[in-house]
Amino acid sequence: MNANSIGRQVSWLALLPWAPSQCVPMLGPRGYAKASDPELLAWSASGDRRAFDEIVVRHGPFALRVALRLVRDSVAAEDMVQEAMLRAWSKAAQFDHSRASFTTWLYRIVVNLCIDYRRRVTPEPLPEDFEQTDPSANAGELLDTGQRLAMLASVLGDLPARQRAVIALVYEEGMSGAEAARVLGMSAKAVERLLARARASVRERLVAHDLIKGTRTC
Amino acid sequence: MLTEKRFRRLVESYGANLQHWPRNIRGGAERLLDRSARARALLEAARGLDDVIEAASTHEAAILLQPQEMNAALARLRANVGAQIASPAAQEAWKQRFAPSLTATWPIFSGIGWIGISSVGGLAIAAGLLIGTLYQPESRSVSALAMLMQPAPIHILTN
Repeated sequence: MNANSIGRQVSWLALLPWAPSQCVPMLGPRGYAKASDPELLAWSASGDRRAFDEIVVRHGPFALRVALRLVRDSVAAEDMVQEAMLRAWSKAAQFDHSRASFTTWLYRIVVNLCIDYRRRVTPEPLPEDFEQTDPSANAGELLDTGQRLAMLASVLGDLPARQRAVIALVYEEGMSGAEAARVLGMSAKAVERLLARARASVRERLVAHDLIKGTRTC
Repeated sequence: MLTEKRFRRLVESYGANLQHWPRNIRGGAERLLDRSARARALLEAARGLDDVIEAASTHEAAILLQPQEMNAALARLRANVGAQIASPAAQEAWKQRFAPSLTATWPIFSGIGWIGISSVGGLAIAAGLLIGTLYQPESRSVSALAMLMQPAPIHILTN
């Protein structure tokens, strides 16, 4: 049974004059906090906005963290995540749990929106706290640890979109390579190659800014 | 068995932290590390880059992912998403999503909607009233109340 069939079973509620979410009390209280993602999604598919709010509470933080790391602009990141959530709401009835987990599906929407955003727009200026430094400066001229860290963060943030995404998913959010592959819509082998390229890109930039020695490391 | 060539590829991808490696490979990686000094050297060499990436990531998180800001962002997200899915346009789109399947199943509701339901309900009420007026209970010659009001007979002893 997928969200679509469950949604159809209560779809007659659509004929009632009041808004769909107001029908929920007629069905009795629901344990939203303890419900599984498939249950919440099925309820959402039948118009239960409270169930979808639980989905936002449950998965919003992860989505916001990844989006913020990818686009590095709080307004844009919130817009991306909001758009992803609205797409999840509109397609809740069509989601098939036998093909993918809900988290994979949602995070894929978030990551793809962020990657598309990065490709479309010029990189935003770093937040004031980032202590902007001249990227051509050598680390030897940077006496302040904070400035060095700012440059390191800048190197990370300037990676190509998909490389930054895989670093965020695997290193920062602790996903396995297989999980990251599903989110990115790639094979596990392709994710390994992407991770290797990302690490190589970071190393090259760090060497260029004299932040690490230029000897070959992994 | 995990080869050194494959081990090197995995180090280049996942770094020195075996917790990032695929779960089904960790055992083989640990066994290789036990017996191969070259594997241990590769892993150790990768730690430097791991430490730099982690430092950069931590600094970035301290700026972009402050707990107060994250809580506020989540609150805004909930409010905005909630408002969007509750909007009249979203409600109509939701109903349209299900209405076609309903009209296909129950043609009587096609194009009639609430008018159809109201008409059926009104007819049911009218039928009930009609049955009530047509059916008259059988009248009694003597009402029960009248019988109750009759005084009880008085028996006078006659001898």
